[in-house]
Formats: sequence, structure tokens, C-alpha cells
Amino acid sequence: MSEKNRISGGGSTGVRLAKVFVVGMLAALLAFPIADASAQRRGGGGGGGSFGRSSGGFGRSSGSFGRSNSGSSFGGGQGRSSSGTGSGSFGRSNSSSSGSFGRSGNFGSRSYTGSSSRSTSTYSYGGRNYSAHYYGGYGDYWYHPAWYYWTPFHPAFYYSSPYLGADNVYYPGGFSFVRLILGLAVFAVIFWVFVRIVFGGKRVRYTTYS
Amino acid sequence: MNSMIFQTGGDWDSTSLFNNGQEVMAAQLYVELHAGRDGWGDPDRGGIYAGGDISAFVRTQDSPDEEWGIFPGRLELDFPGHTLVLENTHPAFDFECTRLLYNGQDVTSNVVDLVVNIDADNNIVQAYITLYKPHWLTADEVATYTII
Repeated sequence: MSEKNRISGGGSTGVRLAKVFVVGMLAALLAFPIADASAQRRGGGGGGGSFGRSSGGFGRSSGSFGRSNSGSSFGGGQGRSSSGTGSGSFGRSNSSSSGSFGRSGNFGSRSYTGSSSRSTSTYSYGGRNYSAHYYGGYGDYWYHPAWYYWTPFHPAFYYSSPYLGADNVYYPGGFSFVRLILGLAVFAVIFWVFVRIVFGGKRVRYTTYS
Repeated sequence: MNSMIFQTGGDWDSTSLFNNGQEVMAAQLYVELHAGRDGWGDPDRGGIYAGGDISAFVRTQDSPDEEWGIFPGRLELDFPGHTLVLENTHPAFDFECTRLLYNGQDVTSNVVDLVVNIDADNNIVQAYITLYKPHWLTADEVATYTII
């Protein structure tokens, strides 16, 4: 490959790499939860398909730039491959998938089952340690209950206590309609007392006993 | 100081009045107490401590035109099924020093009215007590108990 091609190819490849990186990041943000996306980025860094960090980085490896050794889909044989030695066309590791885009499964569907935004942590309460999932909602508050969580003035009141799942990990309780009713009852009483004090005046009934 | 005991079984023959152990030949025993009212004269909590007025006297058969004050002293009234004890030992008959027990219960702080009129001349027998009963959730009650 000529020097000219290398220079121009390097410049265009850098822009393309940046675009691909941005598009990939946006796609990852849209398709993956943040936690999983970051995990994938970290995993990709150590693999052979990362941008510019593979042994076959552009312009330096014995296999010259733009010539994919894997015969990948997009222009590998035409000097348009970005990183050369990655098994995927866009330089990303696809060790867990067979497709070119680092994903598996049908279009539009999530192939990473069980990778929602929950996280498992260990929390200590009462001198013991427990494994628990944190969802980030008010149900998490009950892992470390405060006295005012028992009052209907705090949002955590309306969530049930954590429960032990089948995997021996605690899960935060969900929204409790029973507690909602209790809270509404408390507010109704408060409202009734307020109305009686402010607007009701004194009510007296007269009775006679013989 | 007077210590009067009025007893009745429900008719004139069983009705008697004693003062310091001696029977009083009375023509009328009259007690009227009003207390426990707010600024508009409506019943309110507080009883004796909210202020009021009291009239308590005896008219004897010998001198029916004269009213003999009962207080300072103690008056015990025994009716069928009802017992009243009215006491005021303050030398100046200070109203706030009045104490009232109805059926053994101190109702000093929630009495509204007490009327006892035993009038032999006019054959009138009347006694009732009105108490103010505050309630938390329901409306307060002004209960009148007919004694006789």
C-alpha cells in the first residue's frame, strides 16, 4: 500500500472511527442499560477488537492497514477496515455473538436477558450482612429503615418491606395498596380534625336521662 | 358550720332534713347552681372552675319568710337512686371552692346546672343535674339527669 493511501486512509479511518465510536456509543446507550453498556466497554478494552489497541493496529501490524485477516463483511479486502485484526468488521469483539454487530437475537429484541438496571449489593443491618438488590426506588429505603418511614408523610411508607427471593437475595418490596389506604385514612383523619377545628366550631348535643 | 343531710324515699312522709344531727322542720330546701358556661351563656367545659353562681338556703316552718343559708358547710342529698354531696367550706363562701359529688363521682369540673327544690308549702319536688361531657370524636354532650 502506498504512503499516500496510508496517510489519507489514516485520516479517513480516524474520522470514521470516531463516527463509528459515537454511533456505537449512542446505539449502546439506547439499546443497553448504562450498567451493561459500561461493562461491555470495559470488556472490549481488553479484547482484541478494541479501537487501536489490538496487536494489529492500523499501520503497524504486519498485516497492513485495511486488510482484514478475517475476511469480514465490510471492505476488509478493500483497505477500509478500521482495525484489521478484530474479528468483527467494526473492530468490536463479538466473542459472545455470531453476528457482525456484537449482538445476538432477533432485531428489535433484547438479547441480553436478565441484565436490567438492578444491582446486587451487600448491606448490613442489625449486625448481619445481607445480599440485596437495589432498584433505586423508595423500596430500597427499607433496607435501612428509619422511624419516619412508618409515617405516611414519607414516600417509603407506601412500599412494602424487602423480601427474600429464591436466590437468597433480598429484593425491595413493591408498592403497597394497603399502606396507601392506611395513609389515605390518616390524611382523612387529619383533614377531618383540621376542618372541625377551623370550620366546625363547637358541636354539642343535649341529652336527658331519667 | 352546717352539715346538713337531706333524705327522701319518694314521698313526704319519708322526707327529712337534719343539720348537725338535729332534725330541721323545714318548709323548703332550695339549691340552685349554675356553672360551666362560655361567654355566650352556652354550656362549656370547666364546671365550677369556669365560674358561676349558687343559691342554697332553707326556709323553716317557724319562719317561712326567712332564708337560712346552708354554706359554708356541707349538704348531702339522698334521693332514691341518686346521691349528691355539695360542699363549700370557704369562710367567705367563695364559689370556686365549691365541690360537688354525684353518685360518688366528682363532677366539680363538669357541672353545668344543679337544681334542688323541695317545697312543702307548694308541694313541689324537683331535682336535676346537668353535666358537660366532652368527647373526643363525637360531639360533646350536655346531659341532664332527672333526680326526682
